[in-house]
Amino acid sequence: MVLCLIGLVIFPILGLFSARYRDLAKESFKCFFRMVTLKPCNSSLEQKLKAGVTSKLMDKHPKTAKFIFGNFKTLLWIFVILFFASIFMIGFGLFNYFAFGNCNGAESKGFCVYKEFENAFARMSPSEINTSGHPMRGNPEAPITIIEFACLQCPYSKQAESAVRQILDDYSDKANLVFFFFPLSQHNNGILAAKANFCAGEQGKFWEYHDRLFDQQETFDNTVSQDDAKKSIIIHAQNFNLNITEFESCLERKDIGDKVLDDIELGKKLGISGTPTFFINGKKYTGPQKYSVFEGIVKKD
Amino acid sequence: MIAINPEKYRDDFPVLKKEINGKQIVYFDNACMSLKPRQVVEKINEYYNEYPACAGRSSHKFGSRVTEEFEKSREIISKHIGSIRKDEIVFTRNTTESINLVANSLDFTSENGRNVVLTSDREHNSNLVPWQYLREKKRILHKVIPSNPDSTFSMENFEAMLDKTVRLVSLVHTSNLDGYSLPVKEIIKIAHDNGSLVMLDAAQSMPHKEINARKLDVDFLAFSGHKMLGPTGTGVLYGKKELLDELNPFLVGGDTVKSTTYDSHEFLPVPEKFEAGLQDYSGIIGLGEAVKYLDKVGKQNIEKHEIELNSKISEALQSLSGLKILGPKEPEKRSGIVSFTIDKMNFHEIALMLDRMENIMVRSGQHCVHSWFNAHKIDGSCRASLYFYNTIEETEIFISALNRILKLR
Repeated sequence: MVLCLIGLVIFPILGLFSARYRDLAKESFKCFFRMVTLKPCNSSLEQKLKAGVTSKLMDKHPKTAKFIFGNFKTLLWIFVILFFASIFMIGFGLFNYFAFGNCNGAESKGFCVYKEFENAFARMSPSEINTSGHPMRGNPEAPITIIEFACLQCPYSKQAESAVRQILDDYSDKANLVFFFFPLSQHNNGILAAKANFCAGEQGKFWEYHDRLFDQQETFDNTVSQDDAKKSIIIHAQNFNLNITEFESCLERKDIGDKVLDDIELGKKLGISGTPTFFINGKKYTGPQKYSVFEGIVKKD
Repeated sequence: MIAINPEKYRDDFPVLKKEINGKQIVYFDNACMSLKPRQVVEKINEYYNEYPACAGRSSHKFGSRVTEEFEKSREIISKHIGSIRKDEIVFTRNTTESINLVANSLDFTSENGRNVVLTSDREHNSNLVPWQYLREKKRILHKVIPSNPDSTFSMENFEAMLDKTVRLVSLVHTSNLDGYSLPVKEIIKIAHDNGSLVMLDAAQSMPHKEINARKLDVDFLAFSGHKMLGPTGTGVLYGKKELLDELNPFLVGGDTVKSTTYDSHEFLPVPEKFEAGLQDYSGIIGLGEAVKYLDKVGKQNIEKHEIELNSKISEALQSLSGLKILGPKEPEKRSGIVSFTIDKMNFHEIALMLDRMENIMVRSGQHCVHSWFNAHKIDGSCRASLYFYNTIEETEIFISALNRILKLR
């Protein structure tokens, strides 16, 4: 009976590739049908498997054979539980993949996934993104625009940086980058960093400051208190000889905060589930992409 | 000392040379189906290659040849079971059909109110269900003779149940359950003294024992070809001529009648009146060849050889704790059958493991004797059944494999 549950799923799949499994699939189905109609399963599937496994092991590993023979039912139940748990996990992973763009789920720390479920489905097409007025890097005349949504505190966004910078250097005639902030709620200082980046931009140092924050992410990550993070943000600004008074005042400005929130809202409409997320030629790429991925796209065009 | 040298015959069975996963096969399921020697296969092919026509009707050369071969088979078989009359042999599809023929043809109403059929408590379904079915149709009364506590036939119970209402005593000769053979000579005499007829289900005895129907004085004898080197789908009903004459045909139609008008028919004499429709010519001709082969080997030799092998297996198995052999303890009382159970192990699993480990083919289950297993509250058994082509080496492989399986408990 136990085996029929597994067989019901596995053997039809194997049966697609080999005829030897089709009879086993039928046997599993019959057994399952008897089970759901509250009749005892009269299949010998379990006995066949038990005999097959045990007799194969008997000469080489007698102790293992004895253990399997004696505990076959228990082992089957463990296998069944693991099997259905795996099926559930696969299903959950697939859902996450389609809903959030990666298999780890909304709460995952991997790929810096956005946690709000309602953001799972896009309400806006990438072609509708208005990039004007947003920070651009590289050749404005380049035919391809890589649109990036990232969080300055996200390690995966940081991971993506080198490939992005390299591609912009190597293919400056072909691609440029437009950056949007998408600070995630699990990153305590993500919004602060985004605002600071805008404020540095107002003093003409957007990309320099941007790169520094990514490079020294640990100075304002979740291990650091918000006060200390703010101090670090200011220290980084001092490094570029920015006017700190203006910078600090900028951080408190509502319009700067609104700019960050506008980016977040846009990201939600686009169905962004985590950072970094790239849109290139209307196609969405979730997670840090390898250089070869960008290169493939750029070369193709 | 082995009664016969199986190696002398094994070359005639090409399938015995077959290897699976680098190991020879050990065929111990002869109670279900015997293997076929090449002579039988060649004889079957001979029919299709050389004279593939109808017997008993067409007068051309092919027709004459097939009629000759077909009737030769009948003659070989009639000699084999005691030089009885040729027309006392009726060809059927198997033992089951032979028994059904008698069950449905024998008159249970006219013989002084005798309408009771006695069977033993270890009958194959083929000698049980037909009687239960007739009982349900209210044509007979069916009674079961309880065995002795040691599973042997109880002559005492038999005699106590044998009264003037008993029309037929229908018994298994050798049980496929455990190989035990009933004392049929004595049973037949007692039944006849009572005025009752006796039919023997000889499916398991005919392939292994010398049976002389005339000396036994049995009234009906049913057996199958496939357990005695013959093709599948072949069976025989022997019946005393005067009894067969009295029986009404069970199946009627082509080949059973001499002539018909639009509103009447005239049946042929026995055995033709029971052989309706086109017969399995190749099968029956093949069965004749199988019986010739058995005559060459000699039934006495076969029986001795099987008991030798059974003794070796039984001796080894009886020393294994938790293993129980069904039936009498003495191997000589179980012919070539060793039916056993093992504590805490499922009989199907044992059979499957023997097959997987060493290509040892045995039967597992209730062997179509469900009634006995259900009455004794035993789920089933594993059954090794031997024949003359089995060897001492094969029994050693079997014993060694069983020993290893027992260690799994």
